[in-house]
Formats: sequence, C-alpha cells, structure tokens
Amino acid sequence: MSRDGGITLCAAGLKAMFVTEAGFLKAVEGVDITIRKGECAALVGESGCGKSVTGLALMRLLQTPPALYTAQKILFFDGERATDLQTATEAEMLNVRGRKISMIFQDPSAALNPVMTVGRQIDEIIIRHYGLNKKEARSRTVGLLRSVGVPDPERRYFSFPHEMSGGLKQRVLIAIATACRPALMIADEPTTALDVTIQAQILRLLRDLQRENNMALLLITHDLGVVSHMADSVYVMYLGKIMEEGTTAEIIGAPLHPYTQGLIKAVPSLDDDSAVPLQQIPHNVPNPMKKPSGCSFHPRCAFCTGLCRAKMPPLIEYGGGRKVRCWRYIPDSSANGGGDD
Amino acid sequence: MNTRYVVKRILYSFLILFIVITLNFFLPRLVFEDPAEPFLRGIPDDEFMLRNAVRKEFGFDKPVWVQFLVYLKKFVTFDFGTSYIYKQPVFKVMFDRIPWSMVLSVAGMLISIVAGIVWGATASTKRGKAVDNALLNYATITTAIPSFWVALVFVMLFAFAVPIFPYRGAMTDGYSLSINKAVFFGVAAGAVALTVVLYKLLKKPLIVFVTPLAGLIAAVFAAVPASDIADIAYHAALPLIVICLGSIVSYALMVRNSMIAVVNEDYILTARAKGLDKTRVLYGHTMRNALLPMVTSIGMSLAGIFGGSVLLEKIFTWPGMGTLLLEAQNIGDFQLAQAIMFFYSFITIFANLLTDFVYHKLDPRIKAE
Repeated sequence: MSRDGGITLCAAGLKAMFVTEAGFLKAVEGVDITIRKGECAALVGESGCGKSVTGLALMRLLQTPPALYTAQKILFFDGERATDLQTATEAEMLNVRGRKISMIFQDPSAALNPVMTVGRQIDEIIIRHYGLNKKEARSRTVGLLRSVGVPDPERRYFSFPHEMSGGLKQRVLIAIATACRPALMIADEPTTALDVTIQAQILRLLRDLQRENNMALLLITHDLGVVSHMADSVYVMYLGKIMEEGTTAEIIGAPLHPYTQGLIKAVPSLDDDSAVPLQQIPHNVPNPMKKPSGCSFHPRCAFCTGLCRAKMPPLIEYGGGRKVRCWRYIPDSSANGGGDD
Repeated sequence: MNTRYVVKRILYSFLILFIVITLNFFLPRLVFEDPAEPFLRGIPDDEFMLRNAVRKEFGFDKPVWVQFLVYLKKFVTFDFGTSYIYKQPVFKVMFDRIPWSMVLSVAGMLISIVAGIVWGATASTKRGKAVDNALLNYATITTAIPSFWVALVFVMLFAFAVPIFPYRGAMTDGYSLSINKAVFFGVAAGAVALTVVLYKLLKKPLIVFVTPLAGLIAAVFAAVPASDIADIAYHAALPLIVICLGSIVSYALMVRNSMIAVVNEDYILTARAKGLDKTRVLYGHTMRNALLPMVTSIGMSLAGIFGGSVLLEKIFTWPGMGTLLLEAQNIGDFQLAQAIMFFYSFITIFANLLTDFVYHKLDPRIKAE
C-alpha cells in the first residue's frame, strides 16, 4: 500500500488510567505510535490490553472523569500543519473529530442511534463539518451510502438501524467515518461482531476506501488473520505497553517477542493437518489492577528468568526500525540489569 | 404502525371498558343488601306504597339482567342518572369538579416534569457530586414517607403554627368563580386546531402532549379574572408543594437513571466521534433516548390529571373529584360513585392508548405484532 513517507499521526508517551473505587487502573502506560500517510497500522493484543482505550485517547474521547490521560505529544499532521492534539482546545478537537480523524466501533448494532434514521445520522456529520443545508446533505448522504455498497440507498436513507443487518449497519458507520474524507480512521475491532463472510466484505471495503482516499488506518484488532491481510505495520500491545513493533511481514514472519510468538501459534491454520493440538498462551490476561512485577508478561512466558520477574525491559531498537521489549534481545541484560520503569 | 394494530388496540380498550362497566354495575349490588337502600333513606319502613313507587321510579322492581341492560343503554348515551346528594344530573356534578382537580394536577405535573428533567439531567452528568447525592438521599426519604402524612404535617406547620397559607378550600369566599365560558372554549378549541396543524407540519409527536396543555393553560388565563387566579394560586400553593415534593424526585430519579444508561451507549460515542458539540449530543442523541421512559410515566399520570388525588384533596378540603368520590361513597350515592369510577377507568384506558400510539411514533423499534 502507498507509503510516501509523510507522517499522519505521531503519539509519544500516551498514558491513560481510570479512577475506580478500587484504585487506579492503568490501562495505557506510555505508548508511542507513528502512523504514516495512507498506511494501515494494526494495534494487536488480547482483550483488556488497552487497545481500545489507546484509540479513544488519541481522539480524546474518553470521559474524564473517570479517565485521566496524558501524553508527551500527539502530533497530527494535516498537510504542512502539525497540531498537537494533546494541547488542542476542546473546540479545536471538535473540528478534528469526524473531519480529520474518524472512528468506527466494534458493535455496529450498538453504535447507531436507534431512534434516528441512518440517513439523518450521516447527514449530521456532513452538516456539522461542511455547513450544508439538509437537502444538500441528503444528496451527499445517498452518494456515500452508494459508495459503501448499501443497495437501494434512496430507500435505505429512511431506514432505522433495527431494520438493517449487522453488515449494512457497519457500512453505514463506515459511511459516517468517511463522510469528510479524514486523513486517519481508527477502526476498533470493525469486524469482530460480524459473521465471517461479511467480515471479508467489510475489510475489502475498508481497504478500497483507504486506497481511494489515501487515508491512514489504525486497525485495532485481536485477529492476526485480519492483520496479515490489511496492515503495513503492527504494534503488539500487552497490558498497556507496546511489546513489539515492526512491519507486518517481520512480525508475522519472524516474531521476536514470546507474546507475539504465542499469539501467532494460537492461530489455527487450514493447511496444517498435523495432529499437534492448537497451542495457546497459558493463563489469562492478568487483572490490570494487579499487574505482575517486572515484565508484565513473565507469568505466562516460557523464557521467564529472575530478571524478568524483577524489572520491566525497555523497548529497544532491534534494527531496521523494528522494536521489541524483551530481556532476551538485550545483550548482557543479566549483567547490568538495566531497564526503564 | 399499521391500521390493524390501531383497530386491535382500540377494540381491546373497549373490551376493558366493558368489563369495568359491568363490574361497576355489580359492585354496589354486592355491597348493599338492597341496592335501592340509599334511595329509600328517610322513608319510614311502613310506607310501602311510597317505597314501591321509589323502587319503580329507579327501576329496582325489575329483574337484575333487565336492570343491567337499562344501565348499559344509559351508559352508552352518557346518561349517568341523578346524584342522590346533589339532586342534579351526575354528569353536571362531576364536570363542576374536574377543573378543580386539574388546577392541582396540571400545575403539579408541569412543575415536577420540568424540575425533574433538569435535576435528573444535572445529577446524571455530575455523578457522586452534591446534586446527585442530594437526589439519591432525598429519594430514599420521600419514598419512605407517605405524602398524606407530609400533607398533614405541612398543614400543621404552615397553616396553623405559622399561618402563611390557608388550611382549607380552593378560594376565599365559596367557589363563586366567574368563568367566561365562550372565551374558555374558544381558546381551547383553538389549541386543539393548532395541535392538529402543528403536528401535520412538524410531525413531532411531543406536540400531541405539549400544545393542548399550553392551550388549556392559556384558556384558563384568558377566561378567569386575574384576581380569582391569584386567590386560587394562594390556596393551591400548599397542596402543590406537597405534590411536587414527592413527584419531582420520582421524575428526576427516572431521568437520571436512564440518562446514565444512555450516556454509556456506543451510539453516544459515535455521535461524539462525529465532532458534534456537547449540546447537540445531549439534545440530539442522549435526551431523545433517555426521555422515552418518561413518555410512559407521563401517560400513566394523565389519569391523575382529571382524577386528582383522593387523600390530598381530602386533607386540603379541595373541591375536586377526589373529595366528590369520598362524599358519594360515604353517603351511598352510588349513581355518582359509579359515574366517577367509570370516568377514572375511561381516562386511564384512553391515556394508555394514547401513550402507546405516541410511543410508537417516538421509538421506531417497537413493532406492532
């Protein structure tokens, strides 16, 4: 996919936590993400790793309170201009959301207002950002519905969400998210709630729209099959931290981190007819309120050492822009015992 | 909403109404050993001729099933008979009282709904803060204390101990209200016409509720002299305070809870991700969904608008339908009691029907089966 080198979004040191009755829940602990123009970056991890919170935090959509978030910077490049979303005012954010960065969510059935026609829900974003009147907005909406593959868009304009299938609803949400041709779309598990045949259609649609509009895509998913189809680069996230990052070919072809290796081994393959049972990563993701000491993955890791239990490894450069957070790739790590937080 | 559903719902309502009417006929005949007894009071037992004449006059000499048919025929023609207490047609007696009940209930409902929405919406956005905690604590207290007790205490405190408010009645001297009936019905008819026109133009279902109410209030202010309105307001203040103390909280709590549920819905996130500002998200998406349960609740309390509250009216000697029902029941004026019961049921059934239809318009998910 097109990669002209320019950067669309560059976030550094993104942290998000929730104030709960039981204490602080650190959902995201210092994440750096860079998304190039027109590329598809995937954020991968199991449930409860802080992927969705990262996506919401980038758009500053978390409710504060109970959420708190900070970042060193969240630079968004729009042509020549760079805006720091971290310091932007709420009024500036309102002009970024929907117009520059848009978002689609996991469950299309819950993401549309049940008492409003889908047409009106698409009109709304067009009217908001382009200041068109209702009639003009409507003709654009019908065009959008057609472009996302909704059959009979003139009639569907008047449909309510409950009158549509899950796949159609997700198409409507994609229409909303592409209405203003944003530079970046954040897609949070866009196909998880859909059945497999529809998943493929929706992914193809997303990829076509991405190419057509030269739009960057941050794809949040747990599905490595989706990643290998769609993504140019991959961020593997575990308990609020990036564990490994690199190009899709590198990550899928030669994973470095034991967690990434575990995720890939856990994907069933149709070609694999051996009698070896499907491998899985032992245990579940720990409660984010009670994170393990040292490397947060150590209780589930086959290569765990005393150092892993004691200290969190830093995210180090492995060569060729590839990064990994694991003591195994840090020379003399047992000797110097260095590391960050 | 298809025609079949509407017809079915209306027929069903008529069935319920018929059951109510039937019960209404048999209940007094079960209560009194001789249903003619209230009509024969004061006539000595040995005046057989006179007693039989009265029986014949009111139809008690015929078999029960004939009486029932006669009764049905009268109901269909809205002939509820004559009140034993007032020696006037029951219909007239009732309709003299309805406006008085409405003064309390309409004003009480309006104040509670508006204040309830404001309080509830504020509390939902400031969870755990003072506004919210006040609502929750206050709700616990008011649901635990019955309103008639509050009414008695308030009469003691604010009408006797510190006499700021009158302790009884609806006006200072009698109920000599000069209503300009032509003006009243003129404005009211205008409001109905306006409702129809506005609904046709704007297609907003809430118009069905709001416009007639506004029209009614306008009609009252146009037809009744200002000095009388001031006098009634002065008398209504204490009962109104008691009504609102309880009902504001129940509306506020409902709004708060449904707002909190709706705010966490994904579609609110979608709306915010579109770049809509707070106000548009609140009115365009949150409120619209959060206030749906309110429609049911308001519909249910419509019956109370005409019916009034029996206990509160009794305590404040308010000349409404509630006190009328008590009078009729105590004296055994069962023609009147029957008519009032019928009226209550009719309004309740009608209000339910109306709420159903409005709800259908507001929430497209509800499909008629």
